[in-house]
This record gives sequence, structure tokens and C-alpha cells, in this order.
Amino acid sequence: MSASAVAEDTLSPWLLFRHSAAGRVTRLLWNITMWAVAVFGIGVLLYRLAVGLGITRLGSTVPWGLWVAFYIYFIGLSAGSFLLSSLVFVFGLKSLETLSRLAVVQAFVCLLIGLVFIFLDLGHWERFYYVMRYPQWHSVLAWEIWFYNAYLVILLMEQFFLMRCDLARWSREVPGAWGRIYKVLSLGFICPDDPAQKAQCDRQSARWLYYLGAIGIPIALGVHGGTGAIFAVVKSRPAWYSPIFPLVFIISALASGGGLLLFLRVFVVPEPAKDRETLPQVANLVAGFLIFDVLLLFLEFLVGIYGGMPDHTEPYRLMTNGPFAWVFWFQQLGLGVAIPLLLLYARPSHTKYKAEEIGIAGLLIFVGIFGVRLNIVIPALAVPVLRGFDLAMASPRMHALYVPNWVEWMSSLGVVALAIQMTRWALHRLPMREHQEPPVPAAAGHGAEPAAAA
Amino acid sequence: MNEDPGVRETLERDPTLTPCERREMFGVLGRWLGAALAAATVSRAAEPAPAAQGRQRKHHYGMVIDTRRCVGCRACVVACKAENKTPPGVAYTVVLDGALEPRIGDKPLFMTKPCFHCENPACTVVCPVGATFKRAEDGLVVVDYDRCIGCRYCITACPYGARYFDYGDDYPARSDKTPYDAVPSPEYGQYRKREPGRSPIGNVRKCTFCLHLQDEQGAYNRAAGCWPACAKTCTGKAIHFGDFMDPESEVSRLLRERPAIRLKEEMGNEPNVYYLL
Repeated sequence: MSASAVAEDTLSPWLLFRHSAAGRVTRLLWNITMWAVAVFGIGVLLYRLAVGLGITRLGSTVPWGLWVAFYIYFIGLSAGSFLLSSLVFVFGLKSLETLSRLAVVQAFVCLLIGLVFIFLDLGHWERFYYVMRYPQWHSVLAWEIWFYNAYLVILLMEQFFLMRCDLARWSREVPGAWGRIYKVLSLGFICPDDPAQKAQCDRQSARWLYYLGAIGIPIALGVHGGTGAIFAVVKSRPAWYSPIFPLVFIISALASGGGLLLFLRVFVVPEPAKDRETLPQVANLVAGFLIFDVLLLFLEFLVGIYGGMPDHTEPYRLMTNGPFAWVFWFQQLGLGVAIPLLLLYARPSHTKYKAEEIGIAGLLIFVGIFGVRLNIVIPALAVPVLRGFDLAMASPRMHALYVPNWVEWMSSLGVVALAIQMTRWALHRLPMREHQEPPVPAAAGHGAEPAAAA
Repeated sequence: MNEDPGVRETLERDPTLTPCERREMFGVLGRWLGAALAAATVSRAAEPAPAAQGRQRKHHYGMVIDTRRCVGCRACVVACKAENKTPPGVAYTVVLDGALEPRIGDKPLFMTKPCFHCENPACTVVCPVGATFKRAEDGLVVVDYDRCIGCRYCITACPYGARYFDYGDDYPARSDKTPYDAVPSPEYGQYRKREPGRSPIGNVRKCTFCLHLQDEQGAYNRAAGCWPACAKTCTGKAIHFGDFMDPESEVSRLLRERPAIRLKEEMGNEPNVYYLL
């Protein structure tokens, strides 16, 4: 199917590369690397679940670290993608329509990754269901877990209504076990062949998506605005204690979710024929959110530094001039803001955009937002609540300088790598995109890595 | 395990024994009694949280700490560790020497800092499972180890650094299986055996004002030694513990007689630990 796309857009170097021999070798190496990271990382994760949190570098001065940063990062990617998809389903923004299904897939996968990271961070993970068993209405964190569950249900239902027609069709076209699996997944839904009835059926799906998206908007805002509120209600950390925080979370979620969407659309599941008009529009939208996010950052700094309260300014000093200042200057502002904006806008207005530039800008934006997440979680905790508190006891668990160790990094990368590989497999196996043809069962496929063929 | 039914019968028959006297016996009896008590409290922990039962406030415990009497010897830290058997990285009280400016003449100002058992605790409201709460009857802020999921939100929320996570680290005395390892922590009267993966490892821990030394009515007995370990041991008699509901208690009297401060008043937490400067 992508052969025609290549014919239409032979000038795209990325597509030429994808279909060249070098591209196939690169893909093979990528897959080997990802599976190695996934297997090793999941092993480390299981080890951590077995032996407890003692093998991390977390302590009592900085009790939240890399995993919490990853958790809010992925919840943000999810909520941002979902809100972008709602622009289509609810507000009928036709120009984004070709991206909406990918956005829902992305929202779903990122939510699952985020939930894995919260689970991973619990001292007694085997009690995770206590949040349901002993509900506490006054805890923001409890509210959040309920929001995530409601959101998961909305996303599952959206996936179903997006896929049910294709699933029904595939269940007839594909023989054998997979055909039966498609039948089960379609919940026995039968898509009519008659064009008029088919149109009726599509309208019904669209109406479902409209209502799900409409219910989903406040839930998605609650999901990530609420994740911001987890931090915003903590008065003991002045750098968090701000009503602007939930808003910062939502705006940065939209920027990072949009960035990921652009990257995936250009490099992973390209549809150049369809995206010619869409990509620049989404890029403008994402750049707008990014600039808004920088404005909010400026406001936080302005108010905090103007006030000059040591507990408030010290996290900012750590961020901008501490041992990890490079995260702020290089990753968050340089890679994450300056370069993407230059890539998108620093060219003569008469030249045409290049899809690759937009894809790379998207990549840099969502990598940069990870720096934002790290700088939300760690610097505010690295300032002891009382002067000298971190030194009052000679213990590495009291150190104010937190540097994640290999256990934290490898388990995180393992989760992400596994999620990427499983998503690529699901994208190939399930009708998650528009007008997708079923994978040829047991035919002359592409060996062990079918997803790469997309 | 050599069981001694005689002592157990005594314990069961004579409810007038104070917890301290009971504790003496535990020292003699060793492990089996601790395990039995732990089993008894596990069944008790299954009951609903006491805060939900709307009990009357009977006590208002707090401390008045006289920084002029504190020499910074840290005996309170050691006494607390000996009493509660806290692992490395967990100390229910620490001594700060830089929290406030030094006195005139550059004399250091030491501050022992237990949990303040605030009237409006910031830590309890954030708990997603209600594992930490303020006890209705005496205002102590406690942690239900069997409920806590170890999310550490309360650690971030406490403005005073009163909470610590038990990462399962051990002192050599325990990891080398010395006799110290056999002695359980008397916390909450639960006498838990410290085992990998079992609470309180993986939980948030904090000062309890040694509530395991209270009698059944929730009262402490200073004369019998049933008194928070830090206050009992303080070499300069700087740590005064008592009940603010009793106007004649030492702490109430000290607050009437001398001007006192509390840390970070602007937070509105209303800590129950006062400092005399």
C-alpha cells in the first residue's frame, strides 16, 4: 500500500530510505535493539518489584524521581493526544481528520505506560487496588486514579467504535485464528455491505465518537489538569503551590502530544498523500501550544523570583544553575523550544515545508517536554523543607542531590521499548488506521518484524 | 522457641500491668510473644480506622522544646532509634543546627525535630487510601502500615520533613543477625518482625510520640517510664512532653510562662511542638 505513496512523493528522502536496503538493515538493527532493551528492562522491572524500592536512588528528601517524571510525562502525552483527537470528533475540525485515529492509539498506549510507571513507583504495589477499596474523597491522588480509570474506559470505547467496521470486515476476509480474534474484538458487530446502510452505520459510529469525545474532554482535562493538581495542592513546596500548575500541565500535554503525533505521522506511519495539508496545520497548532507553555514558564519564574522567598527561588536556582542546568537550558529550552521553532518557521515564506522538518520538530518538542517533567518533579523536592534537614542524618537516603541509577533508567527504558514494539505490532495486526488492509496471514511476510512494513 | 505459659497467663489475667511492665517481660520472653502480639494487632488493624468512629478528644499531646537547654548531644535521636528500632535513613527525630540563625555571640542553636502532630496536618489529606490519619482521641498522626501503599505523597506534603520512607536498609547489627535482630520494634504495640517486603518496609514511617507506651486510656505515665523516649532521655531536660488539655501540665505551664515559637506558622498547620528560644 505504501508503494503508491512512494510514487506520489518520490522526493521524500525518508520514504526513499525506508524502502531502501539500508532502511531495512536499519529497521532490523532498531528492532534488535528495542527488543534487547525491552527484555533486559522488563527483567530489571521484575527484579525491582521483587526486592522493593531500596535498589533505587530515591530517598526521604527526594522521594519522587525518574519514575514519577515518566508517569506525568506519559499521562501528559496521552491527554494531549486525546484532546487533539477530540478536535475532530467533537468540534468537527476536518483538517485534522487523517490524524485522529493515530491520536487515539497514542492516547491509549501512553495512558497504559503512565499507569505502569505509577504502579512501579509504589512501595507496596500489591496494594494498588486499595485506592478503590478505601476511597478518600479529599486526596487529589485518589481522584486522579479514578479519573485514569474513567479515561481508560472512554479510550477503549473510542477504539472500538473507530475499529468495529474494519474488524467486522477483517473477520470475514481473514481466515483462521486471527479471523476469529477479529470477530471477538468486533463483539459480533456486522458492517453492512450496502453503501447506504454503510453510510448510516458510519454516521452512527461518528455520533458515538462525538459523545465519547465530548464526555472525554472534561475527563482528559481532569486527567492531566488533575495530575498538575497533585503537585499544585502541596503547599510545602512553593514552586509547585500555584494555581497555574494544572494549566501548565494541560498546555504542555497538548504540545508534547502534538509533537509525538507529528513525529509518528512523518516517520513511523507516513501517509504523505493524505497529510500534505494536515501536517503544517498541526505543526502550527503545536507550536502555538509550545509558545504558550513558555509564556506560562516565564510567568512562574516572574512571580517566584519577584517574591524572592528562598523556598520558592531555590528550586529555580537549581533548575537554571544547578548540577542539571543543562536539562533546563539545553533539553527543555534549546532542543525543546528554540530548534523546533527554527525548523518550522526559519525559512523563506515562499519555500514549501518538508515533512521531515516537521517530524523532527515534533520529536524535539516531545523530547524537550520530558525535560519539563524532570524539572517539575525533582528540583522542588531537592530543596530541603528546613535548612540543614538533608544533613541532619548521615544517610544517602537524605541526600538532596538525586541522580537516578541504572535500575531506574533501565526499567523505564524497558517499559517504553516494550510499549513501542507492542504498539507497532498492534498497528499492524489491528485496524487502527484508516483504510488499512488486513495483514496477509502466514504469507510471504517480512519475517519476524511485520509491523515495520506499514 | 521456649514458650512460658506462666507469664502469658499472668499477662492475660492481670490487666493492671502497665505497658511498660509488659514490655519488661517481652524483653525476657523474646520472640514468640512479639509474634503473638503482632498477630493480635493484625486482626485489630482490619477494623475501620479509629478516626472514622467520631471519638471524643481526650488528650492533646505536644511538646515544648527549650532550645536554651539543648546542647546538641543527639541523645534523643539515639534513644528514639533504640526505642523504635528504626532502620538507617529513618529517624523519627533529628537535631538541626542550621534551621534558625545562631544566637548572639555565634552560639549555635540546636533544634530537635520530631513530628509536630499538627492540628491541621498537610500529610493526612493527601493520602489516597486513608492510611495516615490524625487520631480523634489524642490527636496523634499515625500510619496504618497494613493500609499504606507506599506512594510517598505525604512525604512531599509535610512542610516539616517529619516523614521517612523505609527502603528496607539495615544496620550491620541486623544484617549480621546479631541478637539485636531478634528484638522487634514495639511501634503501635504491633511488635512486627522485620522481613524483606513486609510492612513497615515499603511504607512511610514517622514519629508516634511513642504511643505504644500509652495505657488503655491513652495516658502516659512518666513515673513508670512510659514517656516518649526522646523526652525521657534528654540530657539537658530540654524536651518537655505532655497534654495541652491539662492546664496544669508542664507543657501548658511553660507555654503560659515563656514566649514560644512554632515553625512555619504561615502554613496554618498548627503544629503541636513549640520551641522556647
